[in-house]
Amino acid sequence: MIELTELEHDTISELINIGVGRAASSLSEMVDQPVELTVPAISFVERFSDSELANAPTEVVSAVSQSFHGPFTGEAMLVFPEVRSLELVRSLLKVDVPLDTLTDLEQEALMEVGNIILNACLGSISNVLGEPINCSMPTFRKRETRALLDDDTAGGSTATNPVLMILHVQFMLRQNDIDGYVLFVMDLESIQMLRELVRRFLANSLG
Amino acid sequence: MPNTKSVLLVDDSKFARLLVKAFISSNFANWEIDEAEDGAKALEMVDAKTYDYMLVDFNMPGMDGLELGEKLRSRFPGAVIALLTANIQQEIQNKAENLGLDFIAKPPTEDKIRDYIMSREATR
Repeated sequence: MIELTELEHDTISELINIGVGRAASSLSEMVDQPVELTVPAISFVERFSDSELANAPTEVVSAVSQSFHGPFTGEAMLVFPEVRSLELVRSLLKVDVPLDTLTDLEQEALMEVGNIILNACLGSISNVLGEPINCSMPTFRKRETRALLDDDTAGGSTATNPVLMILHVQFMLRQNDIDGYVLFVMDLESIQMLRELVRRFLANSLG
Repeated sequence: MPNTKSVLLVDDSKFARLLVKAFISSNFANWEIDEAEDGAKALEMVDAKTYDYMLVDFNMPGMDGLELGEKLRSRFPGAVIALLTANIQQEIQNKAENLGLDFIAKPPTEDKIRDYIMSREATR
């Protein structure tokens, strides 16, 4: 398993904090209300089902996912309970639309929200580290939590990966009783590259 | 605003187009607003009509917003062209600036879109 020093751990948390902070600001602009964030949590697991996030494995969630490629690669996800997703879309739309149109727009709207949130996160991290990160087009999935990271294209599962680093931040919109989380998942090679970049960043920053 | 202007919104997200269109329409009544879901469609549309404003997303299938922006800028040197994108990376902002494109960070809000257009109108 990967070992991070306290300073490296703290720096990665702060990077995520900056990224998600920017994302929260974007979300707050969109819904016109405060967005509360938890402190980022970093955990290493061999399978997603081992993480605390899979405590309710059969809960159905809506997720927008974007893979990212740069010095390190991985997947970023915005996840929230399916039952609240329409409520979120209603909060986002500043124009009145009939319910059937709202339902039609649900997936489009959530993908665009995911695109804005995840790009805000990754863009901030890229700007701090000075390394470009390319994002794929967002994809949408609605499924049980336990299958959240199953790979649609390969038909396989992330269970085959040796280590996953899960960076998790919860966000809450109290006025609408909506909460969700942002998740970054990387494999061992990318974690090592991120750690190396963080070391360089610290070396430059600390002189 | 007394004069009717024309706007082309290029974004693969129908939701994003709907929001921006609503923000422009509510502040600039009578402006003509057309939509394209990707770069290829946008290039077809500018063959048939000249636009005063073109707001272009970055992350789209096929041609990305910078490629499209570069083509549009060379064909329409006097038009207002802005990259309207969630991708806030400095590198993207620098490339946009080098191509003579404005940069507007998503999310689009009514204030942001209105203020941007009013500031550009004031300089035209």
